[in-house]
Amino acid sequence: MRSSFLRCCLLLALLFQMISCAGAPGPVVIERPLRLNPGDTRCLAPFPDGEWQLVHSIHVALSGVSQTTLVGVTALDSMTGAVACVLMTVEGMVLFDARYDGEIHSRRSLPPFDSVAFARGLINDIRLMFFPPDGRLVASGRSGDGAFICRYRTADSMTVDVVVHEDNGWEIRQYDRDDSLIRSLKTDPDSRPAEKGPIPSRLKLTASGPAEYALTLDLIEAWELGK
Amino acid sequence: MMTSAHRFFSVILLLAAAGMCVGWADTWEGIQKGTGAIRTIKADFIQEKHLSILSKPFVSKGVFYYQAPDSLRWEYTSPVRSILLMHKGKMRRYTETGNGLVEEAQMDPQGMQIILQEIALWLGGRFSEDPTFAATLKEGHKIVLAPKEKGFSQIIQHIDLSLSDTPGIIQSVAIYEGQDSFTKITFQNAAINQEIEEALFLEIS
Repeated sequence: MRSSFLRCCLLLALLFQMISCAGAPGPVVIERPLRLNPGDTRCLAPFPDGEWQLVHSIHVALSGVSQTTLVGVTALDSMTGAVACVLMTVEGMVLFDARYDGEIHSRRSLPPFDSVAFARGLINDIRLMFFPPDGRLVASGRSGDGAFICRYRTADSMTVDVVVHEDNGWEIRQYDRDDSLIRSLKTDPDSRPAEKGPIPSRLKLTASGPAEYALTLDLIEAWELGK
Repeated sequence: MMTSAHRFFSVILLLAAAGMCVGWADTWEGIQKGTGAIRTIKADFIQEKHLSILSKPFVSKGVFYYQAPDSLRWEYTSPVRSILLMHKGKMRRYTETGNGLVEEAQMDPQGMQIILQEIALWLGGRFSEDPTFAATLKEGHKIVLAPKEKGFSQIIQHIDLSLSDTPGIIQSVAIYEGQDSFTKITFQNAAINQEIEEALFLEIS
């Protein structure tokens, strides 16, 4: 039974390393381009401002099959871009504990979560969820269904679309150098309960490619520090 | 001036207090005797997860059932529903997925499996049989468990058990993973030796 668990964890760890590009859909078509305005707050709407401590339950599905539920604890600072994260079982056993301040500093990582690639993949996912994309704004406008899109091009030639729908739901789509979708992050419309501030109550991250995984993050606690 | 009667009464009070201190939890023999009388336990628990990156602990609540010698149902009711069942050496885990509780067919709760097996040993007072931890009895109704293998201490540094005044009952468990990371589980409303249906250890409903 334990070996099954380890195999599954290993698969999850590998998936963070294997995300690739084959056959995934390309960027959303911007039908009505707008003048570029990097300061447009609509592009920044999905991202929390300030210092936050978040606790999520994280349901993990590999290739569409439900696997397990973990608890994720994340501390964010939008000013510095610093991240601290802990991944643990529901029972409180810490599996992974790391900080990011431009570099990743691992404090605890139990096998199979102990590879550099896993740490990098996890930090990248967290940054995709909670921080505006690194890189320059290269296009913005509206899609055919009226969604507002900000398109960023990163230093490593990846493309990130921040898509804010008219019903207040939003998604973040990350494409590789070939413009194939590799990550999609979605939230439900009106999923920001007032008592929990700007943090959505549910986030769904899908990693596309030959080795797919999906994470459903349900918000348990959100504290804004200094408030 | 204190009368003889007062003096005598004072001595009686002192002896009574001393008797309470030299209770079931002060010797291994007392602990084994206290736990030996336990057939079943049902108790609520509150779990606090302390992490350096959290300004206040993450709190979970639940209920557990124990039946000697080694059946356990460890059930979280909030905020994330999860049930661990351990019966006759088999262990299963169910977690909330958004579509109700679903058995995790492939994933085994790594650390908790060890802890649940430990809890079954502790509740049975079988500290000397523990293959993973060496137990030391401390003052103040406390047992400290240290990993026997050095490698395991990188996962769990030590576990502190606080014993209740009620014979056979553990008041709290603190599991230390590091200096600033630990889990404290406090038990409440313990009911001892009441009938518990075996089905509770086999099924989640």
